[in-house]
Parts: sequence; structure tokens; C-alpha cells
Amino acid sequence: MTSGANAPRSTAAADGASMMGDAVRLAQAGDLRAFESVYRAHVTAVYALCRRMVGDDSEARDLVQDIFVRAWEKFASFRGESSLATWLHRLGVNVILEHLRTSRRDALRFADDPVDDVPAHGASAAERIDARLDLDAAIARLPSGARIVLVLHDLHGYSHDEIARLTGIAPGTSRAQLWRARRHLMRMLDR
Amino acid sequence: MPPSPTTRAASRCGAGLALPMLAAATALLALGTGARAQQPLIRARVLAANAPVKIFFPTGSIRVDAWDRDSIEVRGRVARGEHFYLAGDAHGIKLGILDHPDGILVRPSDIVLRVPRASQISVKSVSATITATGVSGWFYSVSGAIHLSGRARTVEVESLAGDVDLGVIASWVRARTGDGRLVVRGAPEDLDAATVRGPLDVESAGVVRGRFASVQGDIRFAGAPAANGVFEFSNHSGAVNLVLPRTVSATLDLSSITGSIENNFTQLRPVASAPAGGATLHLQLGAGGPHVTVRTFRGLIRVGSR
Amino acid sequence: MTHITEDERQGLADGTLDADGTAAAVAHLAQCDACAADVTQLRTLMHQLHDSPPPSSPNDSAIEELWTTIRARIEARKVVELSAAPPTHVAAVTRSGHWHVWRVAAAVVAVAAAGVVAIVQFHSRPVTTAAGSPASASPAASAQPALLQASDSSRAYQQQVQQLLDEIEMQRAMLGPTTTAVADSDLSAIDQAIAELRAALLRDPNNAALRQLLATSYQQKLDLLKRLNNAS
Repeated sequence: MTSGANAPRSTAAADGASMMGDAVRLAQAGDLRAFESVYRAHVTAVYALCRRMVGDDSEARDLVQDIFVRAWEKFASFRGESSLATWLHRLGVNVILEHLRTSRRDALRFADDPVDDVPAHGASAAERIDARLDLDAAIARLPSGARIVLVLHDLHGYSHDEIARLTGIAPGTSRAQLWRARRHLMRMLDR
Repeated sequence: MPPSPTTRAASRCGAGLALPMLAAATALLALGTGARAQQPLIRARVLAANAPVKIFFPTGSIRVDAWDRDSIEVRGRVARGEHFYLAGDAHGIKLGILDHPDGILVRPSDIVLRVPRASQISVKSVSATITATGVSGWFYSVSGAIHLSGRARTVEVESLAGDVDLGVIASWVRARTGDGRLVVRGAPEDLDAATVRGPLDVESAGVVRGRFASVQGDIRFAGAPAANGVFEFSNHSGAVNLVLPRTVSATLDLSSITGSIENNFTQLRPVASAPAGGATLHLQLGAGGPHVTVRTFRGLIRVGSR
Repeated sequence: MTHITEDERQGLADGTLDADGTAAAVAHLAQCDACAADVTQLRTLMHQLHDSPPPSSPNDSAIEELWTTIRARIEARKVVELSAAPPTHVAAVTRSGHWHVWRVAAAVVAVAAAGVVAIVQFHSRPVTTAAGSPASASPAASAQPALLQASDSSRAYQQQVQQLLDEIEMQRAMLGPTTTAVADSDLSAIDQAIAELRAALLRDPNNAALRQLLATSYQQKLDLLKRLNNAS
């Protein structure tokens, strides 16, 4: 499987368009207005990735900024071997994980998410109802380590080996986190 | 504190009385109104050693002192009609005087805080005088004076028009004011200080990296640049005066676009630069070492010895 | 009855269990309603995850706001690469999401500064690389599109600065008259300095000290706008 190959389906088509190809070439040459069109074509997918990985809108927006600033800096390294959407997706995952590693709160939680720390148990009745209605809200309430593994594995098709390489945890830990994440979700969604 | 209207009225009414009686009556009235004008305050809470303390204190005076306890103590007097708040827990506290939502001016209060030495302080004020000793953090005032002293980790001071007096020993200090006078003493290792129109006066031997800027205010630096120091002075129309020890070792690069340079340190004369009529001067004093760059647009640059 | 393991349940649900394991587990499910129900629930969750639409996108204004900040951060980094000025602009442009109008103004000023400094830097390059060489054959020619772009960018940002400063006018009521008077005087002093420096740079575009003074003046303006923002 290719990391994130199935992730940005909605924007993959845009890559092939010659207009976008021109924009990419111009942006690589330093044209900021061309880069703006790249941003507009991909911001939705990048935001969705961030939103699901960190579970918080404000943090996700900050990360969107970081990812596009990083993309600008690294744009010369994009050789067109993968689609631009895939390249941005990989870059985005790296930026997000880097952010989580340097964020003390998440770094601590990433290694040892307590199994019984299921947010739904402590949540108010209203929050439980919201979670039932909204899968994304439930994903957002997962412990961060479990959430990251679930998003990468179940939503973006990463293998446990790939997740292990990206995050620095063991493949077995990734597997265990995934199972926990699914069980948490089931409980929150009242299944 | 200015006399209250009641006090002034009493003074006028007492014009025909004998002087001692007038004085006694006035003093009693002043005491009475003073007691009513402010209410005593004393609070204390447990607070983690490095917890943040966020303070909003619009007017009056506030003093923050570091102490070596894991608690916060607030003492003072709160103006009548004003509301003091203190919220949070051992991991962080917010306190201060509530602003009036209807725009009515807040009356001045006076408080003294003691906070854990490692706590991170944030003080925001409109016109209050802020005095702090031995604490780190951010201090902001629109027009009130700010005085900081003691040993701190990092200090950031911002004001629009207030005077700022920094006598701190700290690894990093950033200070800004617009019209106020900015005075830096103590030993800030890394110092970034700027005014817009107010004078900037630095007298310190401990600065290793310094950046000093103004637009119209005069900058004066008196001290011995540290051996490996890097100093940068910028001014538009204000002067830059460097007062250095006679035995200093330093490399100086001075340039004024349209202004002039006075070298009272050595015999070397500045080079006139055409066409604007400015001047440049490169000075190697002693064995060199610290590097000092001064740039002005039309402000005078003067180098002299103590 | 011995139930199938968590590994087998999850593997059955997401299809990662190997063929032998799958056969044995399926055989068990045929006899065990509890395990069958659990695996069904897991599969339902898998389908729901797979079919779930992406989270709702930020609205248009949020996308614009994000881009404004991204562009400011990129422009700020450009300055660091192009000039010898200290990287103060980078620190000045933050990634904070919801800006007060003064914060936006401050960021735009930073970007305007970046644009102007970039222009200055391009101007400072020699027009020819060798005596008599036409400009179009020199490396400076390759800088021309970037120069034009920076000029465009600077003009656009200056317009935005003016627009935002107009908005600030409407918020003056939040500050006292003394504060606004002081702020006006300070802003005026900085703007006058900037105007003089820019005029001088037109006459002497290669003057490095002028470039540094201009960058410092823009930084002064940025600092002042930020302090004003804190005052309200």
C-alpha cells in the first residue's frame, strides 16, 4: 500500500490538470501567487487530515499553516513521482507528528494512553449524544495516540509497520492502539 | 493621592474657623473619606512553584515580589466600588480588578503580591505603577511606570507611553516604550530595547548581545561591552551616545546617512559620505573583541570615554 | 465455549486475518452469537469509518484568513533569506488563528516590510555583471520577475495596511484620548521616518545602512501596532 494514496481522493484529479501543473511549476520557481492556487486546491484535504489527527479545530488550522509553509520551503523537492496530493499528505502527516512529538501533552499521552481513560465515560449526557450523532466528534475525543493510529490505519490505509516507522512506536503497540481506538469508538457511539 | 471633593469642600467651609480647628476637621474628614475610599484586601492560595499568574490591574499601584514559598499572597486596598477577583487553582491563577463594561473609569487600588520565585507573571495595566522584584514574565502598561529589579529568567516589558526602569539580572530582556523614558541598568545578558520618541538610557556592564533602537529619542549607552558582545544601535533622528571605558577593547562601525559623527575617543576623524552629506567611521579600540554597529539617519553619533 | 481472541475479532473485521485464521474464526462465529455480534459491530464501525465524509471544511473567510497568515509567514522568511537583517520578522508573524484587527494590521505591516526589503535587496543587485553586458543577459535579469512580484506584493499589502488602519480608526473609542494621541504621534514619527528612508533609498539603493534602518523602522511600527492592540 502507498501511504496516504487513498487519502486525498477529492483533490487527486486536480493534479492532472495542466493548469495545476503550471501552477506547481511556477510555485516551485518562487511564484507565491501560483502557490496560492495550490493552497486553494488542497487546503480542504489538508485541513481534514489535521482535524482528524489532532481532533481540535484551532490546532488543526495552525497545523494547516505549518504544513503549507513547510510545503513552500520544500516545494523544490517535489518531483512529481507521486501526485501532489499524496506528497502534501505525507508532508502533512510528518508535520503533524512532529508537532505532536514536541507537544508535551500529546507526547506524554502518545506513549501510554490509559485503556480505561475513555472520554465518553466522563462526558456529559449531552456530549454522549453529540458523539453518537457525529463520528468525527467521537474520533476527536479519542486519546491522541489511539486517534492517530486509527486515522492513519483505518482512514488513510497505513500499515502498522509504516505507522511504527513514522511515530517511533512498535508495530505491536500500533496494533494495540488501533484496537483500543475502535473499542473506544464503539463505546462512544453506543454500539 | 489628590484630595477628594469632600475634603476640598471641607477646606472651603472652614475658611472662617480658627486654623487648628480647621486642620483637625480637615484631617478627620480626610481620614474618614480615605477609609471609605479603599477597602482592605488579604488573600492567600497554594500555588505551584512555576505556575502562571495572570494579572489585570488597570490603575493604582501594584507590587509583585518573589518569595520562596509555594503560595501566593495578595494584600492591599481595593478602591470602593471596584471588584477584586482571584480565580484558578494551584496550577495557575488569574487575579486583578474588574474593568467596568460601561466605560466608567476604574478607581485606583493598591496591592502587593508575593508569588513563587519561578512563577511566570503576566501583568497588564492601563495607568498603574508596576513594581516587581525577582520575577519573570510579561509586564504591560499603557501609561503607567514600570520598575523591575532583581534576578529573573526572562523579562518582557511593553508600554505605550510609560517610563520603564529595568534593574534586572536576566538572561533575556525585551523592553519597548513609545514616549516614556527607558532606563536599563542591571545585567541583562541578551537585551532588546527600543523607544519611539522617548530617551533610551543603558548603563550596564553585563550585556552580551544588545539591540537598541529609537526613532526620535536619544540613545545613551554607558558601559563596557562584554568580550564577545555584539551590539547594534539604530536611530532615525535621535542621537546615539556611546560612553565607553578609556581602556575598552571593541570594534566600532558607525554610520550616519545625513548626520554627523563626533569621535572624542581617538584622533581618527569620520569619513564624509557623498552625496547625502553623512559620515562613516570605523574604529578599532584596543584589541577589538566586541562588535558595535551604530546607524542613524540624521541623528548625531558621539563616541566618548567616561 | 472458548471465544475467539481480540486479535482474531479485529482481524476478521478489517480483513487482515490470514486465511487459516479466518476459516477457523468464521467457523466459530457460526456457533457463537456473542462473538458474531461483536464482529458485526466492529465491521459496521469499519464501514462507517470508510464511508464517513471528511470533516466539514473551514468556511471561505477562514480559508482566506489562513492564507493571509501563511503568505505573511512565507514572505517573512523570504526577508531572512534575502537580506542581512536580523530575522525579527519571522518571530513577529505568528500562526495565531483569530486575530484582532490590529494583529492583522501588524502582520500585514510585517509583510509590507518584507516586500519592501525584498525590493530593496533586488535593487541593490548590479544591473550588469560585466561592463557593457546587456541587463537581459545578466543574472539580475532572472531576478526581474521576482522584483516585479515583490513590487506588486508590496503595493497590495500597503493597500491592505491602509484599509486596516481605517478600521482601527473605528475602534479608537476603546482607548482614552491621551492614549490615542500618543499612539498617533508615535505612528506619525515612524511613518515619517519610513518615508524619509524610502526616499533616500531611491537615491542610494545600494546603501546597506539605509536598508537596515528601514527594516528597523518597519519593525518599530509592527511593535507599536502590537502594543496598541494590547491596549484595547
